[in-house]
Amino acid sequence: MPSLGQFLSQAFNGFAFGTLLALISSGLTIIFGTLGLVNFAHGAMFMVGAFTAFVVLSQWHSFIAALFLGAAVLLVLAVGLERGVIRFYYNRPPEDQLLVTFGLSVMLVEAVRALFGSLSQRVPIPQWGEGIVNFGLFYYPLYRVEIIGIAGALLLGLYSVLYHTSLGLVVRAGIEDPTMVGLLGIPVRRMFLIVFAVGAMAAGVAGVIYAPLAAVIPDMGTPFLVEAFVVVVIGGLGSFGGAVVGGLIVGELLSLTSLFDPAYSQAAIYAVMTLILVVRPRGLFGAEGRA
Amino acid sequence: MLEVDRINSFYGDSHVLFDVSMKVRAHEVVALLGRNGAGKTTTLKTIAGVIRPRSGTIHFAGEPIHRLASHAIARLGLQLVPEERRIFATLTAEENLRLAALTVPDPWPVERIFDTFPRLAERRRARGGHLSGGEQQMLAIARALIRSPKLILLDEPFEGLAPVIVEDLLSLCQRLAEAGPTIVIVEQNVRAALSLAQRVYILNNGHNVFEGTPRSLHDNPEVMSRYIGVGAEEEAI
Amino acid sequence: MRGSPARLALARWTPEILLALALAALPFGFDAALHSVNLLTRILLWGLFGLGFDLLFGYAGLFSFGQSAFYGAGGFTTAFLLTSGVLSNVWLAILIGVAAAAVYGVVVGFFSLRRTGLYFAMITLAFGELSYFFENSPLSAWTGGENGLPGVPYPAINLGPIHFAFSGSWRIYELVAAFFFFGYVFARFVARSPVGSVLVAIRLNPARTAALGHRVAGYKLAVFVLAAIYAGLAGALLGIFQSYMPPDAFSLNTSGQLVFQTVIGGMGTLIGPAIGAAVWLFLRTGLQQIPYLSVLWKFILGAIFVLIVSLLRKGIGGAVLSLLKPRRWALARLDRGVLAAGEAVAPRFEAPTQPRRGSAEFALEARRVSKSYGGVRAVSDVSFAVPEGELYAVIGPNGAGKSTFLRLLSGEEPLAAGKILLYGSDITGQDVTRRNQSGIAKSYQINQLFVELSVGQNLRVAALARQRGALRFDVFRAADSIASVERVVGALLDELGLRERADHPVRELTHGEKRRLELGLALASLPSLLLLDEPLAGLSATERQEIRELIGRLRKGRTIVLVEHDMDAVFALATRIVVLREGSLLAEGIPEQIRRDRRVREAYLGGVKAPANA
Repeated sequence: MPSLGQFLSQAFNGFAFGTLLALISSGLTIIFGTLGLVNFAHGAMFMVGAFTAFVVLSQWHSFIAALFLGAAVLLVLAVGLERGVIRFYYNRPPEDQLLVTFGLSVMLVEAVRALFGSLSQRVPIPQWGEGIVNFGLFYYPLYRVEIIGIAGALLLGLYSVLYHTSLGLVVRAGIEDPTMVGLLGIPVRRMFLIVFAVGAMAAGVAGVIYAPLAAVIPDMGTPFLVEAFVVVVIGGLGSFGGAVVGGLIVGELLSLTSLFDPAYSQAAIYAVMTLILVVRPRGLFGAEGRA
Repeated sequence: MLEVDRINSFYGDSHVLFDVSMKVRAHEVVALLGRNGAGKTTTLKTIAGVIRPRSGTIHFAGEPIHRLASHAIARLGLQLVPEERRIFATLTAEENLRLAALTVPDPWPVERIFDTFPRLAERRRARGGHLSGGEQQMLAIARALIRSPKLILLDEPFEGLAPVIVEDLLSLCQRLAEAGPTIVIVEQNVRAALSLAQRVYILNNGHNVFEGTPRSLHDNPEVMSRYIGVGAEEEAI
Repeated sequence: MRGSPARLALARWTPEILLALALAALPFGFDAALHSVNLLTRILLWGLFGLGFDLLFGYAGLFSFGQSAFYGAGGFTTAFLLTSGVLSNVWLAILIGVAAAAVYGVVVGFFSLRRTGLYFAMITLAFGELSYFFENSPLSAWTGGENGLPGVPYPAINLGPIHFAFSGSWRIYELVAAFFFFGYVFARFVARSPVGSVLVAIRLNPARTAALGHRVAGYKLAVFVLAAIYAGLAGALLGIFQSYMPPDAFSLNTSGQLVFQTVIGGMGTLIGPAIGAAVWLFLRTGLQQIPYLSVLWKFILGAIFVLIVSLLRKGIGGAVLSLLKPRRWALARLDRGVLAAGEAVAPRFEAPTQPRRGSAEFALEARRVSKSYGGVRAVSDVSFAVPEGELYAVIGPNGAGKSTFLRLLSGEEPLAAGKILLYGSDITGQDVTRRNQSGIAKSYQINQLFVELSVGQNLRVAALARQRGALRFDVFRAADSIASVERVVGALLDELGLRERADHPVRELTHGEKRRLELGLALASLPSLLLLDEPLAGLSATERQEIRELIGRLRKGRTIVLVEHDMDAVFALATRIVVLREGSLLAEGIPEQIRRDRRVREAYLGGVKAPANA
């Protein structure tokens, strides 16, 4: 049996990873909930964020710059993709959406591979993130503690934008009834573009934050994409709260099961997802409507 | 103020409006009547830009609007209050109003809305989905009013409401009509609609079949029963 | 117009013959200096894998992202049996590997097929990833974990003096080519059979397919398992071909590559996945020889993929096919009706002679039927009974519950309370498919047609269910070869006035023609009870007249329940009228009574004095 310290340390790990997953998943869920679009390129967008961090941090060593540039790169990318491809797919069946975003995802991954190669890139932990915190029962890397803070703050920011600004009002109304939003004088199409960009930026910024912890490689997005989908399915497609709670659940599941046998952690989340789909098909917080 | 000239509209492949025309003058209340499926709602939706007409023109305040998107039409001051009310269920009553006011340069102050609808003031923090049918209808109308539109299209505002509430709304609409904006009303509740309207159009199977005053309609019971009521003659149209 | 039997047979087998010739000729035209033969074999393996996936996705529209699970399951089962020494007979090992994939298909299908669209894709993806994980960890003692299983032997034929071993690149090519050929022949049988027609119908409109009396869940599971079998076979051959079973057979990339190749090559063409595999593999080997472009081969492939998804829905294969024979998609060659080849066509679409079950007084009886949505009663306590041969019209204002009531009768929605009897037997518990098989069919307010299919194919899909039952796997006969079905289709084409349009895809029809076809789909089930939901909606005056006359003709010998807003039509057609208001029965009577009924006039005319519903 693992000791209490080990257990707490792993639980903390799960929490840190969970907030990060929640951030990625919230982007996925906003896009799906508002636009009815299944974005299979979400993992690739996360990866693009991580590579932006790699470039910026190895050039200027400024994490803040990496965060902003990561968001900016994703903004440009998202606007290009939405105008060029995605907007033609809002009314197509989910299979077509999966296919086209899958194709875009391959293009992104391969473009990055062509630029940086397949080798794993190391991104240094920022100076203020070096070191270890003593929690009494266990020691814990400082940067992971900070991740919780940063990702948590970003989630909170996203939440306030969604729930306490007029953009949020428009987005939430748009989730329910885009036609009526249009009838109230609000250009729905532009709103769709904004939503897609915000969702993509959430994934990209998560990539920036995660970069120092991982091997930064072109394929790194795939497991995150799959896990984010699991999160969203568990939490309920289109539900912001569901993405957060689902993210934490999946984060904890992954790290607590790996306490016993790391091999089983992936299996655990799929088992939970399948179980939830059988018992509660709309997910924990899923509402009626799309999908 | 509004000029609809021989529009043809489709739902997918289904031809719903056949050369429908109507004219509405400023500060006038016009009722658009007809049986279920006659094309009344489609007419309103086409005017508001939800459906684009395949042919025909629509002018609003002199400007052609039949090619504009619905949001652009709404910004010109033409406001549809759709049937089924379409209140945002997850937003509070007040948020519904704020959303509506977003793109108008000179919206009504929210407090003025609440003065007009004291009932909504009490329920301002309630979610749209938790409002009663009557409250939702008030909110739907309030959501249009806050945009201080020049023309309001009301689609079945009284449908499914208790008679007391209908009376309330009716008197509200009367006051509204006196206050200025032009109104086009579609209603199954013919008496209510006729008590408001100065002129009447009747559609049948997507065709114009009658145009006149409420009085001329009353003098024409055959038109009433044929295009609105049940007791129709048996021959085909 | 029709050729001799020999020419018809030639036409039917053209694709198979061309494929056989191509497979035999390829090795000769092949420049072994430039590419390895193994490249051809690999293309055929992917093509074989893709045959099943194309039936699953291209035909039935089920987008699985977890086909790697079955590829790996078949491959590793076979490889394990052979490398562990459990079995020495390679053929038997392949057979067991395929069986394992099939069983796994049943399990995964059981969980995943409850959902559609994104959820289905996600659940299959999850199973794919789970399988990869199982291969890698818990089962690594048997599967070799990250190392896979090396040393898979090649098969041999040992018949006494005849010994033939499939060793070496060319022999393996021949083996795989043979499997691919027979796999293709079988897939073509399935695609041309009634089962293939039903699968396409499921993709285009699953709800209508179920309502027409096909057991949709059964067909879906069947095609899912069939796809797993193809995947398992391809996986088993992969291990033999490489003498090594690689663990990444289970990876997400495997499923992804399959999707890629199928879409590029052409969904619903069967040969498409092999074409896509050729594009994929040749592009890779080709571009890798060009400096600067070598790193971009997959990027270019991705761009091609996005373009094809956006612009060329049937992929390269579909585009080529449509060039070869315009207007005829790969799916659309079912139109050579057997009857048109000589047999007489029934001059008139006669009413079915339904055996009356028991001595029931009524054809249809609804007893105190109720239904509510979220606390609101859409239909409450409605009872009525229709004697055989009558036409009952249900009228009422918007929101009166007419359409809901019809859905309760058709079985599209379960009742909250009450009973429904058809010829005296209780059908309350039957779902929409069973009820169709029991003799109820419905035509819809909004057309529910199979838009990519021709008029004749639409009617055939509808007629098939009644003639061959809800679920049947008659894959070795063509969909258009069943005489009783063709008789119904032919008679209906005449009755609906659509004979000229039989070969036209639905989207080319006028709205009036579509409405007639919509009615025709319901009729093709040969129902004893016909439910019509606003058959006149959205029609012009002349088109209305046509449909009214059609309904007038259909009345003879049929029991009909009609929901319609066109009062002229209702009063002209109905023998009795039922008025619903706010979900309850307001009045019932012959048209004359209803016309005079004050309450009915009130309900329609409305009025401030109308009773409250709050």
